[in-house]
Amino acid sequence: MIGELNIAGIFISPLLLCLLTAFMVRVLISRVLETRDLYRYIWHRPLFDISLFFTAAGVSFLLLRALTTS
Amino acid sequence: MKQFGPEQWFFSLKLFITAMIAYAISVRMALPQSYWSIVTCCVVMNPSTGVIRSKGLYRLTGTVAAGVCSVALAGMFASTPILLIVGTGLLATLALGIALLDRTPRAYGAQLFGITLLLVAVAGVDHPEHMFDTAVARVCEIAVGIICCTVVDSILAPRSMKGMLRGKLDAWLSDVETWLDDMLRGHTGASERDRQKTIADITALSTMSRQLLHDPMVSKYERQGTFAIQQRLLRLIPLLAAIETSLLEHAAAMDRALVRWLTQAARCARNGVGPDALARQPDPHNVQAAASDSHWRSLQRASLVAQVRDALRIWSDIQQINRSMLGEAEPAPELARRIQEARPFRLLPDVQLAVSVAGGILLSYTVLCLLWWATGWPQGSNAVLMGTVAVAFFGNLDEAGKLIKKFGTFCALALLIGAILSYGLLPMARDYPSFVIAMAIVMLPLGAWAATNPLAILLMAVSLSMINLQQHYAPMEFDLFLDSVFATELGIGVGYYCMHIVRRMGASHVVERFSRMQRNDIIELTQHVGEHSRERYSNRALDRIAAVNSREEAANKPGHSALLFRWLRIGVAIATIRYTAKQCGETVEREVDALLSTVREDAERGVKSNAILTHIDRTLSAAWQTTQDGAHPLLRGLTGLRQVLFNDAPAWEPHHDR
Repeated sequence: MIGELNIAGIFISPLLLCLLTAFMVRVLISRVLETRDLYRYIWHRPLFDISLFFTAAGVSFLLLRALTTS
Repeated sequence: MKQFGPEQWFFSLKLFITAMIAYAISVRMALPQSYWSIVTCCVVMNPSTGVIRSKGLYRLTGTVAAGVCSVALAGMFASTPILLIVGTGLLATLALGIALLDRTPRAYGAQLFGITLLLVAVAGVDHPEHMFDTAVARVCEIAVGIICCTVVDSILAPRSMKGMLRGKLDAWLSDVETWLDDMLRGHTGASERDRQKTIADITALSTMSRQLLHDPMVSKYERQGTFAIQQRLLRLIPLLAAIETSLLEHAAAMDRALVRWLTQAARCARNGVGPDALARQPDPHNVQAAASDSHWRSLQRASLVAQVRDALRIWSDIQQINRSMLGEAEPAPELARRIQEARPFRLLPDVQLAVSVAGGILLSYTVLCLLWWATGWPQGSNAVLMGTVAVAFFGNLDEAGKLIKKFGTFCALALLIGAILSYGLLPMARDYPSFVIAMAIVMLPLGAWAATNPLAILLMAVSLSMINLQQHYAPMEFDLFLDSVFATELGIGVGYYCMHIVRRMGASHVVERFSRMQRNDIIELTQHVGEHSRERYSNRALDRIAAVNSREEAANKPGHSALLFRWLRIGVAIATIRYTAKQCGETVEREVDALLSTVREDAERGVKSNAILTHIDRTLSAAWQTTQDGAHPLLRGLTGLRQVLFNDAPAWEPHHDR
């Protein structure tokens, strides 16, 4: 279980941090895919983007858990 | 009874599924005001993916910023509620005023900032210690709603703006191509009104620029290409109007060389080839120079040839960009670079109107706060919120009064629906499935209506805000409900009267104001002109023409946009003359100064005197002595000004007595 994050006395849910990180990671990957014109290999871009977002959120959550419990 | 098609029902179903998921998540997360998630879904959900994402982003940004500000205000003024109310009112008015200045969907962020500030800081003034929790809860609930909308839309038939964009581009290009072709071949094309409708449509693309940015199915290149085409079309349109006037003047004395040259130009336009292909043809300007034409005719002809060449160059660029967007050909490297740099046509803010409406917002806020303070009425904050929202959302529209009234009627209907839901349907819900059924009875028809009517979205949002829907449903005391109904309607009523105090309504007033602004711009151009003044003026003027065109009928001023279009050409000619005169010597500059002072004086008095014609002819003579190249920008500007203002005047002849 990951506890709440204490930022300058304000307790923030770790989920919020993970979602924010996932959003930024998703935007970065999308930029790279767009500049390299790799989106043409993707059948359903919105679905792909949303899956990417959730994958990134999941990975960051696991990473955060690994970091805070080790 | 209004019949909804399958598309509307599908949209409604999508909205309903999203709202129910968002509500379930909010309850699971133990958020205090779960209905905010449902309201967010109602407001953010849209048939187009780009709109959902841009609206979601701006709603979240505005809410987070307002949450931070309200907590900061509460920290500063917790012990002095009066200062908290004053500070919140000023900040909210500023934000809502900024929203009025921005004519893109980004304005929604500023609107949400103002509204959230009122919701958190004003409503929580008696308990500033709870403000932080309220702000966090609102941000979380709105975030849940937005995430649910994005996810459901990504899975359930997302709809891109790509098809609509392609359709628009094809229609514009076809309209302009027909115009160009008809004109060069001497045929009469579409009416001036149709053309101005095309201009309005082209400028309106800028309002969608932010939504295109967030549409995942529109690639960056397609977006940039569309903006590059928009820029060029808006540059081409005044040029085509000038060519048309020149051709009409020339019609009687058109020689064969010119007719042949124009036919070749029309062929180039059809093939999307630039003017370089025309350079090999005999230049009609040189052909006629040997003939017995007057100097004036020779100037007109040289100006016409230069204008046609410019138009072909722009048109060829447009065709190249369009072909590259369709994947048929690669653009030249220089053009590709310019496509990457393209920006959407900037919709200019109407500062005067924004200031008036901001005054209305502040007035309405002050009156309602005073009423609240004087009576100590618990629902006073609700009245303040609704009055401010009514003015902020509808105050900038031509018929703001009528629309605020309509908003009041819709709110009354929303409150009735809220009452049915609160006291009729929801008490029967015992578990989540029965709750879903109760909500579906109300939300599905309203959602189908909201697919086509934006006011229905507000209706749904207001009715769902009134039902006190939290983790466990407990209907509001009926007297409290009636009290809040009264507060809502009172707030809107006060907003309506405040709006009437601060501004005049009606399309006719707007048309007059735009005409005044157009004239003031011309007066300014006679005084100062910089490198980009001409283009900036042309963009401003086209934006106003588009605005006037859509109001002509309501204002009962037919042909007014055509008049503004003529003024646009006058302004462009003046900017060219003022800018190029600097490079043509002292004598020419002196004559130009005298000419532009006369134009300024006449424009200030609203008349057109023959003194302008005398000055144009004298300036032409002075410029003619400096350069006899009819394609020189100064001579083109003077010729254009003479053609627009004194179409029937006798031909100009140079005076050598000076």
